[in-house]
Amino acid sequence: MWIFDSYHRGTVELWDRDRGSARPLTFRYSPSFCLHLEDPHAHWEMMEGLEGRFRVEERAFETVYGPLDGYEIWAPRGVAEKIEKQTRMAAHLYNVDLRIDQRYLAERDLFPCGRDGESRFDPDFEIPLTSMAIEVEGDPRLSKAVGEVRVRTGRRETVLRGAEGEILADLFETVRICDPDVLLFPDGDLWVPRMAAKAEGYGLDQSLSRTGSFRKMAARSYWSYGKVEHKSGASIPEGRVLIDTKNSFVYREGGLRGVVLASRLTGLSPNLTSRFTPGTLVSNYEVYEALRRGIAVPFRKADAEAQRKVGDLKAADKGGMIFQPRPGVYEQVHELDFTSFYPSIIVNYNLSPETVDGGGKRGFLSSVIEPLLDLRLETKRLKKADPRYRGLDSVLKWMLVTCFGYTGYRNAKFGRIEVHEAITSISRDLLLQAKEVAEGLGLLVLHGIVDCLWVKGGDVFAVSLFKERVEALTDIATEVEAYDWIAFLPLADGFGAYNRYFGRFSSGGLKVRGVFARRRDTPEYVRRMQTEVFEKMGVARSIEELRRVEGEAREIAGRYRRGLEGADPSEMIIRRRISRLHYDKRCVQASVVSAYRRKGVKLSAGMTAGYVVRDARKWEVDAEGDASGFDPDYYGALLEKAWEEAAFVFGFIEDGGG
Amino acid sequence: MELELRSPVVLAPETFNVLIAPGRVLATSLNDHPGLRRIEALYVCGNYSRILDDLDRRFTSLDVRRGFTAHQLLSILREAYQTLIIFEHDPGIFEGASEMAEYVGRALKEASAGSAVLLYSPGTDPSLAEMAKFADRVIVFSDLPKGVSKRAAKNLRPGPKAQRTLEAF
Repeated sequence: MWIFDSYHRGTVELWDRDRGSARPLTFRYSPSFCLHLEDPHAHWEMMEGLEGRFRVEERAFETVYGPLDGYEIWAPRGVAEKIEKQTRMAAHLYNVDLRIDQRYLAERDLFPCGRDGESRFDPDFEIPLTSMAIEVEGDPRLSKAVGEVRVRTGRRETVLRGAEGEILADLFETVRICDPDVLLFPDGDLWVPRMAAKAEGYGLDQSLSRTGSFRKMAARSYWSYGKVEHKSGASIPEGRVLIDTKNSFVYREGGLRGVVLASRLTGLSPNLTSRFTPGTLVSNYEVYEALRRGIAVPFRKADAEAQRKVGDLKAADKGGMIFQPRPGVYEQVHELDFTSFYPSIIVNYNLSPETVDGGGKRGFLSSVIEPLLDLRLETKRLKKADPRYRGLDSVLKWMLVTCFGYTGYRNAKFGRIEVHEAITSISRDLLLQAKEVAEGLGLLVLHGIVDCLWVKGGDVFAVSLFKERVEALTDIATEVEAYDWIAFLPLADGFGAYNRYFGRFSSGGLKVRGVFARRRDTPEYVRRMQTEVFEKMGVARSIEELRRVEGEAREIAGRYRRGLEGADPSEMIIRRRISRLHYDKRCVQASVVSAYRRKGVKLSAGMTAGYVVRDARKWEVDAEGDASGFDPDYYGALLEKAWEEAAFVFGFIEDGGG
Repeated sequence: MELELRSPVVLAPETFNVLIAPGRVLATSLNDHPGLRRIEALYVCGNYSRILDDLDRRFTSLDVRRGFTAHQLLSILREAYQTLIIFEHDPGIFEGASEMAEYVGRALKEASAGSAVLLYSPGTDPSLAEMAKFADRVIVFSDLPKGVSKRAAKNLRPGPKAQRTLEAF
């Protein structure tokens, strides 16, 4: 069996590639939930009532904190919610809000996109799926009409033109004939619901879903790491994988293999893993592992932080360690990076909600993260020789990055704030120890952020000894990169910024962080100027050589300054996330919302909108695509700031800092 | 034994009190009360506290528990045994779980069976109003910070400028 789609609709439906694609396999499955009551006698009437209407079995069940006495009840979620109210939230409920198809698979030790006996943690797996790429001309946010459509299967590309109804009829016919398992469709989550609705209007039989039905996913705006994000809704076809290649984070990072790997790990269908964030994936991976191991998954997050003294709280609640750099340009620098630092700490120190206070047994979280970490270390090794593993490595990297954040997330099923704090506390100690090792070898520590250190001095032998000793001390893999030179930029107050730097690798190429060229809201014109300047600087292998390219770098900046007036307004687009739709005061965001409203485009909080500043003093902007001009003073100032970041290097050398 | 936080904010044993006042009112009251350091007190808050950072350094023995979800708050309140329980309201906890305010309000009232309970907030909001339904006493300082919504301020009944004490609202 090779399952490529699954869902629950009265029964669990599994689409098996090995059995063809005509119909899903259906399985009857009545999920149960578990109930633990601290004082069962106080609720005997409720239990009698439940036993009269549903199948109820008195039994003990496993949780991460150990076994609990209670009941298993075969009833829907609504009953669990009524029990909560009836007991005034005194009931402890488990396995209530799980995806039924995921649970069905986990309880049978099955997983999607793999065969019996295969390991989910094997980086080499086959994908016996046929795919088709569909691309609709135009932006679905700006136009509702379906225009020209390009359809590609293998090497063959067909362009569908004509009236909208004809295009749709041709598209559905092409999909029906080719019958692909996977649709790769940029903006598919916006186009497909529209196509399905239009099909009805034109009296067409749409063939995008193999059953004719779609499962709906609602659009939503939500807070994540202090930012409002927006997620579009989706109409997910049944029996076919639809990937919105433009908006799927996992596809962007890992391609189809990344989506499939996420599916194998989490027990979710590729339709879901292509739409979920790495955080949701790692959370679902933990849920799948818990179910597979017979551990009940809590419905509500009720295990509160332990009591402590106010002084202890203040001492514990810190983040990762940062050594602030002195702004400047440095030669012969090495950067030591810990690989998957926080996940490695979880595994090495056996950190889990039930073990963080002590206790000898292997913790749930650490035991679950360990195979994921091992797989990531393997893909990281493999990708050096074979770039096909790069996508898998990236998906795993992001899942592991977010597994740390999830330990402190208030709704994480297996999170606990003390685990979060223990991870950062250990990480601070380890980074300090690494610093001491460096200094013991005569290396000068220039900068450090959470999981990496920049050191200067020493020969190749000293640096390799540094890496060796740090790995032996911490039992965590590291990587070392050598720089010919690196520049750490200053903050406005003159102190070193920890997240704004750029430098030239000894192996060639530049590493650039936190500057205009890297920022997502930088207009293309400004980005091009800074990138060109950096490329020129990247030719220089030393401070002396940097001094020699200064004139050429200045000439590049000058050329962009002179060309600004005649530049194309489309190169001035600034893309920023709109955090809300109503503003009391005049500001750029308020003007952007108005510009899009005038255009007839509905924005939602968390969406990214592109705009061009027409007159900065009056807060006047044009929506992306509507701009015929721009404010040269405003963009000139941006150009200047971008140049200043690069020019810091020349100023520093000029002042004798080099 | 009654606990006079600051005149006339007096917490009687086994009562559930609500205090709506600027943060400095509570922080100063706690810092200026030498007797507080001798009694067992639990401070309950969400992810972020407006008060804890302003507490006197000598206030080291105060027990603290943070609740990030309404269900965690319920667990904390059910397990609380201290003589004084101060609960700093975090409206964010009730976002998407507004129905839980009633249960937390009940839990605060139940906790007051063995302790003096003080629910503190710098302003009013629907979840605070729901919890306050179970309170024995609501104390409002009219010097409300800018963050308090105009509608909430209008809802307060007229009375003396310095402080208004109501049985409940």
